[in-house]
Amino acid sequence: MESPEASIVFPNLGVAVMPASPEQFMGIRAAEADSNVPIIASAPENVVFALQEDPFGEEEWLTSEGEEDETFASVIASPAGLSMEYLRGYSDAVQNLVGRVVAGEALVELEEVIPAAFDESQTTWGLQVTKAATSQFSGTGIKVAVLDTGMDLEHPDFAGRSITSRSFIENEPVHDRHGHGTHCIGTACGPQRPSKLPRYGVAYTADTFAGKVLSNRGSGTDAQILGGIEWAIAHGCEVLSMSLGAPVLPGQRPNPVVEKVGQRALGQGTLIIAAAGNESGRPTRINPVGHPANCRSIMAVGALDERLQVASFSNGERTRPGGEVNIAAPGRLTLNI
Amino acid sequence: MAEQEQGPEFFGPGTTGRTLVALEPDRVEAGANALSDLAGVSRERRGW
Repeated sequence: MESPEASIVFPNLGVAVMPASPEQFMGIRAAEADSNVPIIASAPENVVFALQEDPFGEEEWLTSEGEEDETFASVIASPAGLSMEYLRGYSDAVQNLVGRVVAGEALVELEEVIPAAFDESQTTWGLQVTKAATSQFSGTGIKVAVLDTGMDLEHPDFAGRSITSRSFIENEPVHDRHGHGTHCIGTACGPQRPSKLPRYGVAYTADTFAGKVLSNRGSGTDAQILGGIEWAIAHGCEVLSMSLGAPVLPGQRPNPVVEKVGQRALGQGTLIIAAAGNESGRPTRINPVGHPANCRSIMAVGALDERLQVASFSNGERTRPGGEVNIAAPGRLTLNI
Repeated sequence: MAEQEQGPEFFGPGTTGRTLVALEPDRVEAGANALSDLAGVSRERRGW
């Protein structure tokens, strides 16, 4: 699936991914109107990225050994090893960042961090305000899939837990060399009694499914995500979480193919949840909900800060049906593994 | 005539150059065949 020339069909999702010239793309579009051709919708395939909690923060992803992951440093030091996908994503990210800095909007992100109003000696502030820390529910019997950069399968906090994993990234095992995937799985399914307090995980007895759909550089494609979605549905996962996405332009319509995938997932008992996106610079700029969270059939999650206000970086569409934030949850300064 | 744009540039930044296609769920094989025809790819050469 890494090759831009590769074609693939996901039979259980009813989706095909194929290279297409502009002429072929227009031909496919025309075929959608032909009732004799079983083609419903089409759209360009996107590159997607892991969404960091605070894109202008100083997050450091740690390995199970407690050492800073040096993947990025080693990659930068070996430019010959960079893939086109990575270069494309890197270029987009830099252009986006430069544009924001030039506009003076990035300074909004450097707001003063308010003193913690919560005692986090036992549980994170997020678990406290959501009451997950005292809930009678722990996720027993629920299958939760997290599609991201994979998982640190050797992390002691998950020793003895039921973990099903698979990589959809060519030549990269599930083991998370980025850190974002392990972070997200920790929040969703971390233990009731972690090796080091505070407790940070919600569904501590849920069956965890770790799908690596983003590379160790933190990027992937729609096709890799679709592979993970098809895998999670086949395993009967009730919840499928994706803290990933790609920015969209104001007024840009949701991807109609991914919308169909969301509908078909719901029809098979799987709720897909995705991050709304972290590219905003509130209060001066509110970006629309990103792809794929802007699909109506996918639950879009925004981020709250400790004051239970919308986090400055969190996206939120207010003008287009289906592009709105469906739910918001603690998403700033969230302690984790 | 200007050379026609090819690849990801045609679809815009952040795209791969490939196309996602939703097929009728009960006619996936027929849809894949139709795509092969539209793309001019033989059954032997196509990736599915």
